[in-house]
Amino acid sequence: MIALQRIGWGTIILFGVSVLTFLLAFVVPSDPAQTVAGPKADRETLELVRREMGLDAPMPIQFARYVGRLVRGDLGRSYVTRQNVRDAILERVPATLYLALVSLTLAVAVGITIGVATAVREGTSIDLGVLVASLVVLSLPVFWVGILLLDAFAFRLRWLPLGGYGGARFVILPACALALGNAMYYGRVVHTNMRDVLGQDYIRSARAKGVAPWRVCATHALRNALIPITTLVGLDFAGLMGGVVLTETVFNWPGLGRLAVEAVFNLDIPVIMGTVQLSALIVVVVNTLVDVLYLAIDPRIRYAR
Amino acid sequence: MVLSVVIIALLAPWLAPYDPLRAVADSFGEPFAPQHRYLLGTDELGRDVLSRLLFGARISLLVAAAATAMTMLIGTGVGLAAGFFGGWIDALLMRATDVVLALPDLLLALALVALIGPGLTSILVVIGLVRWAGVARTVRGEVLTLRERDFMLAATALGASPARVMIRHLLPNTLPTIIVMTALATSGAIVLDAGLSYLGLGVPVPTPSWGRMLSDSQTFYRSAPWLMVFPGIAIVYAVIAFNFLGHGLLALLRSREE
Repeated sequence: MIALQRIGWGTIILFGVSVLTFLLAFVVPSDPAQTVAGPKADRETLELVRREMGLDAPMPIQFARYVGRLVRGDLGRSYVTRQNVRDAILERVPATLYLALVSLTLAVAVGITIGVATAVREGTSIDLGVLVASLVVLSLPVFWVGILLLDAFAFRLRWLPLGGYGGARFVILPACALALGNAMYYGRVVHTNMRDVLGQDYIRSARAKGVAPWRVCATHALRNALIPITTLVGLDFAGLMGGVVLTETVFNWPGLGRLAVEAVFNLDIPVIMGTVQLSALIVVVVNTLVDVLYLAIDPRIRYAR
Repeated sequence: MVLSVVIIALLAPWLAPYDPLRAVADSFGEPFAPQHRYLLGTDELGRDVLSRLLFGARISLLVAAAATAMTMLIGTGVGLAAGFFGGWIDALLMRATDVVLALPDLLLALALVALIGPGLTSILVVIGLVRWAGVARTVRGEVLTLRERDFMLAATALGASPARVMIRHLLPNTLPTIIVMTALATSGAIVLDAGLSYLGLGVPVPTPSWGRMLSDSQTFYRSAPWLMVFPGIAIVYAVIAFNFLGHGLLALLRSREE
């Protein structure tokens, strides 16, 4: 069945990702043994470390070991902090998750509102104005929006704190920064879909039956417009989990993104690989889920097969 | 209309290398506000912001152009090959594409930069390498629709070699989509470059770069808020220019098809 096929592809892709990450790590010019042992280590210590880390084995064997560890959930140990990579990552995941969820909820809420509002007023200057505004807002770099928001609301107005982790007061600015672009995008999608749906026959018949226009919108049209949104939200969630790097840096948010950046600066290979691997995992899992869900929601696709 | 915006963005660098990018004023430690001599003010090291912005435009566009070229080359190549040959080549290439697609842009870029090391060439390569997958997918879609058309069958029937068919027939027909994608890819490259520079992983220090100008300005948000605004506006301007170009071309394409 199709769902199984998707899951199968997902696994293959994950394997491909692990190959890629492994190869990348192998290409690194810096010598891991050196990093771990420290700059003043002598040759013998280096050799010892190298053997302990398994770096003297030929590449395929190292890869096999790597995959074996991966499957068991062992992501290695950080070169810098000697902490278990998996623990380090899991520490940060909730923060990023929190931010991603809040931001997505905001984006969906705002997006749907905008989309419906403009679809109903089609062709008017409001519609056109919103279209242009959307394109502009979409082009704004996230971190710039973040900086401006920080400056405006945290520094000048002193309504909100200057960054950091916490409850509603802390999360709202970064979530807004992230949500802005997505909201505009969802707005456009909803708008286009609503327009298509509103022009169709069954809407007209509902109206002819005397159903109040408001109800027509809400129940019939909206439901159909929401289908592509679900796919998009799924994809965006996956993207967000990996890609909130910039926002987290601006707002000092202790999440996965910042972990990745720190790791890059420290050339902490295991952490980098771990984060990349995890992001890919999340993306693939969510995508597969979305694919399967889509098959369930939209009967047309099922029958088309 | 849209094109004029793009042209301005393109010509600006050559139009006014106003002042050199070394320090001009003596505002070391205390940036000047925008004023007569220094139209957009100066930064904390005494350099004129306007000139830095303009030179930054050059760098950003250079990076974006080179990276986009790479992205489009790889992406189109893969997409064409996958769509045209089909079969196991298609499956293989598409799985590879999916693998790359599974990794979020910035994260992959980060990882690559960590490995290759910072610097102008590496930025070019990294940005180019990160985004080809999306292009490949779209191009392949186009090729798949085109493949069934008559002129394709005719060409193969007449004995044209696969390479010839691809280059002389597929390519010109996919060109409109490719052009649109190039415009959009350029704007994406600019954003990615700005992001990387902001994080400190972009071009090395004295060279002006919009992203880095933004991150530097954060220390001075209290005394010199304009430092945060202008580089951002520059980035937005360039990105919007290319986005509008892309969307405008897309609309043009769609109306022509009708």
